[in-house]
Amino acid sequence: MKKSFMRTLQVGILLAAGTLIIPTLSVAGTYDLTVDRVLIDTGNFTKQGIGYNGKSPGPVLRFKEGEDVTINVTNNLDVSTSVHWHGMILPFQMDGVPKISYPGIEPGETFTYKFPINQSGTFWFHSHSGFQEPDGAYGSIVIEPKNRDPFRFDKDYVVQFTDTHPHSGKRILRNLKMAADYYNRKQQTLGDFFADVSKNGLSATVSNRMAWGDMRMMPTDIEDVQGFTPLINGKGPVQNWTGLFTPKERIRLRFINSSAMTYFDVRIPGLKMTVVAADGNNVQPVTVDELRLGVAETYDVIVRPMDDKAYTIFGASMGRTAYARATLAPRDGMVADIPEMTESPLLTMADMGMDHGDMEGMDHSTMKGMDKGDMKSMDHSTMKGMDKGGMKGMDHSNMKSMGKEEDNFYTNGSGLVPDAANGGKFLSYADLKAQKPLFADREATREIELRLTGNMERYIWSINGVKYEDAEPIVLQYGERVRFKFVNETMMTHPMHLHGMWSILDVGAGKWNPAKHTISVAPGTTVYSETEVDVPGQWAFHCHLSYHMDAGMFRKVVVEGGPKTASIDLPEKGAMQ
Amino acid sequence: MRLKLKTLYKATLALLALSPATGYAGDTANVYYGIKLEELEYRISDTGDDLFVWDGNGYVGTDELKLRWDGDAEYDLNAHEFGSLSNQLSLATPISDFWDIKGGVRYTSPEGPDRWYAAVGLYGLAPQWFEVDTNFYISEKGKASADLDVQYQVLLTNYLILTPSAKIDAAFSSDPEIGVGSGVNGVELGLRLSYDVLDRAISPYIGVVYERKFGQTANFLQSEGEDPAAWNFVIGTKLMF
Amino acid sequence: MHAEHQEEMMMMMEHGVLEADKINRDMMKMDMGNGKTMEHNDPNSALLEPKESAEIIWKFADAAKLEFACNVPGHYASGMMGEVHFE
Repeated sequence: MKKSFMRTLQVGILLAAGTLIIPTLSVAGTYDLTVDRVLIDTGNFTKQGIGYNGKSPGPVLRFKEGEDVTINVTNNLDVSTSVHWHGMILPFQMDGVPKISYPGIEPGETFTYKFPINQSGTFWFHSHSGFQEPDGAYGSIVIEPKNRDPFRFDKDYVVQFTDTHPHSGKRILRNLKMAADYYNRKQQTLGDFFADVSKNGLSATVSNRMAWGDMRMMPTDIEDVQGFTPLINGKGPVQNWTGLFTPKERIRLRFINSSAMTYFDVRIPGLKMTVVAADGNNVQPVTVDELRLGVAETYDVIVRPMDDKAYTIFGASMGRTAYARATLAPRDGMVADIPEMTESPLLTMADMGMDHGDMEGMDHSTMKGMDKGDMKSMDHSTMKGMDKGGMKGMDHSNMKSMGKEEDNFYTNGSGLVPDAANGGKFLSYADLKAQKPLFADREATREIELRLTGNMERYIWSINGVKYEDAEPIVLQYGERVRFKFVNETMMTHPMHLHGMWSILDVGAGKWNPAKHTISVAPGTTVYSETEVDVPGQWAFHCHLSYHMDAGMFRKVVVEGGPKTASIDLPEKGAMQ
Repeated sequence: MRLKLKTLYKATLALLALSPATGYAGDTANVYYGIKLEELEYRISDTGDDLFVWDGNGYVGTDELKLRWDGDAEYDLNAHEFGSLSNQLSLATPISDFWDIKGGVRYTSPEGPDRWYAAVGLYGLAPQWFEVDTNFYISEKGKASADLDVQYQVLLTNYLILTPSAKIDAAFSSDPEIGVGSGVNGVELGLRLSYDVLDRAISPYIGVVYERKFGQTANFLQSEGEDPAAWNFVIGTKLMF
Repeated sequence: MHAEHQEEMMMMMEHGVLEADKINRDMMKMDMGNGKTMEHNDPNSALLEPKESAEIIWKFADAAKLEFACNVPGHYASGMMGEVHFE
């Protein structure tokens, strides 16, 4: 009797604390992470890597909105490390970027992170030192909201993707520097040439090859680093991670892409996925058949399997060089068919941006020879019209085709436009609308143009043509709302990640534009995002493809003004114990 | 002279052995390194020669400045002597998206007299994927010469690769002491079929190479009783580390 | 029944009749030219803006198992539905 009363009381206090009915009560949790050398077994190969608490991926850290967390991170490596809480809004000294937030965590040392949790949803964490993240140093974060989420689910699974490569990150970048196509085993061969000749004729094929050869670029250059094994929650396709369910249950799947380099097109044949959150923030639910999970992005979806059978979670890499596979099943050991990957995409001249200096020599006769039939209709005026601002005036008659064939987040005629394998609905950025906007909508105070630039052959990546080591920081003023204009002048897709502040992606939905932490910018496109500069300090801003970031597509952002400006001086030892 | 060469070798090796750490370096430039041997092969010629041949390059440096080594050699397995042996050490820097210039010294030390050269060169990727490496030399004797090396890769599959190549040597004045006549004095055409067995690190190949000397250079050879033209069957491996 | 209704609501969403936080009732008369309407005037349903409330009165003569749901795109799928059993 007494015991059960106590339990009720405990539950009562917890509930009260969770909903902050009694604001004086706050939850505080302490968590311990060790950074360790670990063995990673992908089912295809085993490699030495880095993990947390003895494993890669690391644990799922479960926080509660309103909680003050203390996380002790102990470095058991023989090199310096760091932990960055991806997508978390926190004081910059806690952001975990060596040389920007703090000096890093030296071997044998323990660094204590302390920060309040003022958000909820799906996030992740990873090392921001060297190539520790591609080498396995990542884990996930699940934050329970203060109030109920506006959707229902009975089961809740983290589904964390990565692209584990047999080579160490260091070696991968060195190889790419020696030969940019080192890992590209999808290049067009003599056989492809003859196949294209019989399909498109000799002169068209030759002029196509000449156009690409003239630029010294490859239409197959979609995945720089191939030869990886995709993992879901640390399990390769053969090892088959399985999440259990009872038919008719609603399952919340928290998709996280922790890959170094790889985008995944994710589907669950037989199930519709209702996207309820993007990058941790709830969105107005949208039901899709397939979605593209950009590097560092997260999407939460609800699925509801009605039958007593297994379903395959299938993530084909964007370049179709490998797939991730996991299973949802009523009982352990049940499996479903593994679908075929759809055809490998090829980049088109449209993805090349068309207005490059190198392109001057290209005339329209070579365009005709392009494999993609739709290229013929491309003219330069439509390219110019790509401005997302134009979305608002969009004619309603076009609306039906949205998301299927046309997606304004790919350039007109792009070879990368995704199609759902079952012919159904593929999620577009244009479908993402905030459930509850985080910020009042207002006019941006100024625009900053960031041209995403690079030299594929030298494997140099930069912003506005300048690598990180040569660049001045981007200076923002506390209290302003900055509009970033990303102009992708390269042929690669870049997931741009601003630390510490939300990036409100302009999908043309005004106040409903979704707040994200990672904005994927497809080749040849211009994408806008706005940021309310509401935290002081200095932050990292970079392409989240590990080797692009390391090769220079990175900036430091300094926020001037605001409270506690003095604290921008880096503490010598941080909160080191 | 031999001693000096050894010192040079050692210096090069030391630089390469430094193998500086790359990785997220924050605000300092990353240093990279690599070695590429396009040819490391055994040659049997229709003129009865057995040769061991290499041709490659290596570098250590940043995107902006590299220390680069170029080297090639032909070792005669019957005569136990180097028919040719060349090492060049340069500083290289990009001048455009696809081209680097290099400047440095070259030292040739085959059987017979050695030569030092001042060397400037240009290497990179020409349109339509032709890999080009070309050099201009002035020897310690004041003689000018040049060479050009062009390569192309035909992908039969993504692993089975056919590589046609052409090398041309030219001299602007003759240096009889080392058997060089003026004009275009040598051409080497190769066709190698390789297979990538371990990434792109090890790619064994077989192939044919046609060598031909011209003009005075050919005359010098003939006077030594050698044939100015030869067909070779080659077997070897490409290396990239 | 829900599937058909969801299609209508999808159309209303696409044409801006429904926004996340308001209903543009003047647009509901729009002629779709294909026999479809966006009037959302079925007697067994109600369309509510945030903070609004409405009453629907049903009379049941027999026992029934019914599902009630919100058919705004994505809402049903994210769990805004339930079942009633009349015995």
